[in-house]
Amino acid sequence: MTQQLVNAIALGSIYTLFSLGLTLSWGILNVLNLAHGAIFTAGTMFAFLLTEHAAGLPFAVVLAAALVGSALLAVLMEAVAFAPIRARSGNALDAEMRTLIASVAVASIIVTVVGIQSDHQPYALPQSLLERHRYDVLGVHVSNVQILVLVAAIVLSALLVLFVRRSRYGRAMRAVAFDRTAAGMVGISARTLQLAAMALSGALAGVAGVLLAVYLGAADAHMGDSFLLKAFAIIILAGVGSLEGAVFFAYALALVETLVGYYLGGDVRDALAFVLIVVILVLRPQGLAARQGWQRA
Amino acid sequence: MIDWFSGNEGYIQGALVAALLAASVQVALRAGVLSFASVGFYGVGAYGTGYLTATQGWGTAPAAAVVVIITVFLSWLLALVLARLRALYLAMATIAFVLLVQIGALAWDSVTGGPLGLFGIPPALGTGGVAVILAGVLAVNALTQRGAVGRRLLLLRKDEALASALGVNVRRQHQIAFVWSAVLGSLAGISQASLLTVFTPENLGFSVMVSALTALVVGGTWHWSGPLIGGVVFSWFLSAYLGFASDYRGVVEGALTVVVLVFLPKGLAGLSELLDPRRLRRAAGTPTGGPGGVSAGVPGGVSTGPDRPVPAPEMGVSS
Repeated sequence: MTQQLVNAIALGSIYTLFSLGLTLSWGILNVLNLAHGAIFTAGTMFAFLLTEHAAGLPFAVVLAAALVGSALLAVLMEAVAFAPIRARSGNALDAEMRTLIASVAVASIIVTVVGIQSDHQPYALPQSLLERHRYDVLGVHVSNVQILVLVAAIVLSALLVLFVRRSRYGRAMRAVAFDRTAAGMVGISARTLQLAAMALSGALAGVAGVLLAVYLGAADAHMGDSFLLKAFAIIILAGVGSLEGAVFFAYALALVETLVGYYLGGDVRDALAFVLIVVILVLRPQGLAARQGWQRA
Repeated sequence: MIDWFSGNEGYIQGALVAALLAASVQVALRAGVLSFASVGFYGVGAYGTGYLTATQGWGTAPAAAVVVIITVFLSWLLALVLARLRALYLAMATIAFVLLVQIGALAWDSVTGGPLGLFGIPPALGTGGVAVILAGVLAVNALTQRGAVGRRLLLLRKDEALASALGVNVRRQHQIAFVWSAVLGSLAGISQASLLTVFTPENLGFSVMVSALTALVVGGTWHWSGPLIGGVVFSWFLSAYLGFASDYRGVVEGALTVVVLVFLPKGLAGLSELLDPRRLRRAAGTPTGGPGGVSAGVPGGVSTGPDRPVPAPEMGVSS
């Protein structure tokens, strides 16, 4: 059982990185980005291709390359699809609907390309990329990969929270999220900040993808789908745009899922996220963590 | 003619089902309901019919009738539960429902056959039967796009508060749209199960949603003929030229959708509007009339789509 908890913490760390990116793009751009899972998968593919063509690179370099690649992919998506669609939409609902459909389309492109690239088979990052060690801590097995995943999640989410809360750019982003027009009047360029938010979101997805691939040992083109459902649940629990809430509920969901899976079986565990989404949306749509409904980012 | 038909029957069937599914998403969107739940009810329809006919030995007609009744009941319940949700929150909940249906199809072995799916479903409907269903659905959608009902739907989509102020029961209209959308999704599933005679969890989930949305957006999101045009372009021409299981299908679908979304917001159905002689004449004479709210070219002044030049109010906060 204690072993299960260790696994839950590692899983929660991946959930954290994944959901932070999604909640960021929703909070700041008002986009429900269904391509987030695809960018997450693309991150693993970047890492895989890099290790194939340039064997022997250190892990940090591969991770950084996947991060940059995923960030660029997200920026490209914003620049080519989301921004033009927003600019031409009649009203907010129309813009939301069409960017959502565009994100589904982009996801289809990315997943198909990764599928072709991997021959529709699972692919694995080489073992030599990161030597695995196991430690016995109080009778529980902990691997260095699990520690790495946890540390990465904590460090990156702390940096993100600091950035959004304290830095000049983070404040500007929140201003854009709150009122684009007013932000524009005080000289904040919404366009640049939206690109920056997508870059951050994509980078987080890429890092989450590579860490998951290293942790599980394998990846495949469709692995993003199930994470989307979990991230939905986490964002709804936390309230859209609440970063601290997303971190907390990512770990909470992983823990509850592990317990439910252990006692009630895998099918119930998979349905849990959906049940949570519906229950929370109906009872407390603003989320459990957010103080007010409009509170974003 | 007959040779041509038998040579292309598979593509035609694909086009018909895709059109039904695209229409199911359209009837929700056009009432301002951002729901994709019909893609989940597509699975309910297909598995319901498959279970009742192949496993229980029912006839296709009573099975289909029971499945539609179940769909109405389930979707009405879901509509009650999700009634408070708007926009992206509703979209998220319904997408979660779509994914849940796929999980359920994999897990509920005794009814769905698990990962192997159901097979031996009697092919009772045939291409003709599905074509009749689609024609009926499109006729209803075409009629409800006009007159008082059509204007009410337009108002619901454009300005919910105004609709409410004018005495439209917004919640009720949304529920009706949601249930009608689910029924169309279910009909698409019934048709697909009957045409394929096999149904597996692989026929569900995200990829179905991609195909439905692509057909809808490319054909035309706001015009009743959009799903038909999209279905024909997609499932027929693309399958005929790319092959059913082409590796690049997902890329072509995705890329085309993005291009149409950006450059042709009304889809292919909107092309006829652009080339409408009355609009061209008006464009040549006076500058486009109307206080920014009425798009040029549609007789009677009711726009069938979002009007591009209207400045967006505020995008940051909507809930």
